[in-house]
Amino acid sequence: MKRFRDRRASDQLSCREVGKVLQAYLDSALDDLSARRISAHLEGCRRCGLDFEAFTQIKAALERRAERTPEDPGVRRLRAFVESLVSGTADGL
Amino acid sequence: LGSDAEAAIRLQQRGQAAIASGLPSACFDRGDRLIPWVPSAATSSYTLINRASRRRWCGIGRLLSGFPGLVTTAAEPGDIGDRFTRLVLPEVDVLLRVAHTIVGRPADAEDLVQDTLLRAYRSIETFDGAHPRAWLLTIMRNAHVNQHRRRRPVLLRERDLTIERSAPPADDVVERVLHEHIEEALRELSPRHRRVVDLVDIGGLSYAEAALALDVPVGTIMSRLHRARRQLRRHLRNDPRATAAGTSR
Repeated sequence: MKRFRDRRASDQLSCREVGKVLQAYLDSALDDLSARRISAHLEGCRRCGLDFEAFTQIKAALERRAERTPEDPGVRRLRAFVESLVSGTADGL
Repeated sequence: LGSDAEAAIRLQQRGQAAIASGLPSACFDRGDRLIPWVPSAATSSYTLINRASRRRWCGIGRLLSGFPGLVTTAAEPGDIGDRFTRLVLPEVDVLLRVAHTIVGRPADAEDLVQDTLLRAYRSIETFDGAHPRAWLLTIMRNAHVNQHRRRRPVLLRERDLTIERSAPPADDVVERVLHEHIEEALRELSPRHRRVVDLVDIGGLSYAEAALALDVPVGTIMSRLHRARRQLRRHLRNDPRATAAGTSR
């Protein structure tokens, strides 16, 4: 990652280098400069662009899965436990 | 004298000078900068925390004026509950999701979160308020380690052990097909890869938060996620129905 970051902005990235950080780019976990360079590569490389598109769809499908999952009833019980802690009525205080 | 001793003397001299100039108390940040701080008769107690150095000072008083990077956290008893509720309540669902990835049984996950909340409540006064999720995940990890050492008694009295999960609404064919195949693909993942996908993609945790939750380096999270997503993609690519839904190329 460091070697990647330290390269000059004008250097062209290889598909292999892009592949190594593509997931971090997808998760917005790269610094701005690195993200811009990846973005520029994806604009001009069909293969990496398709890779990115496929991973984006998978990530989106997983996020939708989370949205569709009904709230665990345990969340309600645990929120009630927080209330009991604050009011001083919880067990274990 | 070593540099540490010289620095200590210098700080002491500056502290005395500060007191002589009318400031009853003073403390210093790591950059050797004087932070004037006046103890008062007010009932408020404060913890002064330097965000950069993580050093903290506790006492009764008030800060003379604002300092960048320095926060004061009021610790009056009446405020503790409000502060705890404000910081912790929004994180409860995330904590439970993470707990489900750490322990197998739903009841154990709920116990782990309850233990975490209790520990957090006991230490809320020493928490600076920054990154509550990371703070809670650290507490949860420690609680989990302790639970392994010594099983705690069950705290929840009325536990509904069945977690109802209704089927997702089939709003359109592509969505439904994709959903079904994502489920299948997820089941194919090894537990360690599934856990990372659960935390990052489904739970919405950052790499650093997932690393805290699983007690592994961030690099491990990244490599497992990378491998898990490639495996998901491979699974979907090999499935003609998923291909028709447009996920794999």
